[in-house]
Amino acid sequence: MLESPTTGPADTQALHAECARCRTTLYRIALLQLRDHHAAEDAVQETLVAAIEGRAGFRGQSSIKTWLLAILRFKIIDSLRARGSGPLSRGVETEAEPGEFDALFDGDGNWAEPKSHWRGPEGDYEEIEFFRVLEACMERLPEATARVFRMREFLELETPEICERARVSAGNARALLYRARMSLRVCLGKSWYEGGDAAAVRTRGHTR
Amino acid sequence: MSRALSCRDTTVLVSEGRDRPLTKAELADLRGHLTGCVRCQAAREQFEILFRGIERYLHGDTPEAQGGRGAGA
Repeated sequence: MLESPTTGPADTQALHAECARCRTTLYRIALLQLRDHHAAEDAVQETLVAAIEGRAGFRGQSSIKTWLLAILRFKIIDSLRARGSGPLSRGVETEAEPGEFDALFDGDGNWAEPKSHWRGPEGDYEEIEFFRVLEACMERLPEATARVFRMREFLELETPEICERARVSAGNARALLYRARMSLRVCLGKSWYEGGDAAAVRTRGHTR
Repeated sequence: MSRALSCRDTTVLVSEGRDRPLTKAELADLRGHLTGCVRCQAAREQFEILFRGIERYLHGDTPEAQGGRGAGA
């Protein structure tokens, strides 16, 4: 529908349409971070209101979704900070087990996983499917792992603040971030670059 | 002083390098290991592909978000 986002009054309709289309995505991201239905709804609502009120500030250099995500990021951070420390993370210890990636390495810490060749030095960033697979891989991460990972990679919070907001120790935060990245590399390799269970992951990836 | 890193150690440093600046010693160890280890060079490239993909995805910079080919299917 949306050919290319541009500015101007004629695009108000396009903005409303895109806001409606992105609403579920924004809500899912907000819920994952805030873990509270009302807080997530509020953050999304405030994001959409801010976007529509501030539409003159949208320059069309990025997609509307990118712009909405940028606004949402600030709304989530505001909400996290207003609330103080988050609820205690449950199950964090069991989520990051020290031996989790033992199968990838031998006893001396050398690679023991089969060699895998990812096509070319560049990622498949022009492929919509690539991101659907990546999304499916991220959805497979356990809850606390995903939350801490997105605090770092999406909200771009520094580790000390992540520890405070998620109520995890620095060591736990490090372990969860490591786990997320290791798991995602394995998942992306198996599901995208090596075929593997791509069909299963992609089917999930298509579900909205 | 440099100590020998295992492949496993390098994956930890590659991850932590996303969260904090690595120390000079860590960087030297990492470079030293990577220079001589083909498997870790490959793994590091794969991590970079993953990290760029995550950045694009989380910031809405995907072909779908841009209304690129196949969008709206």
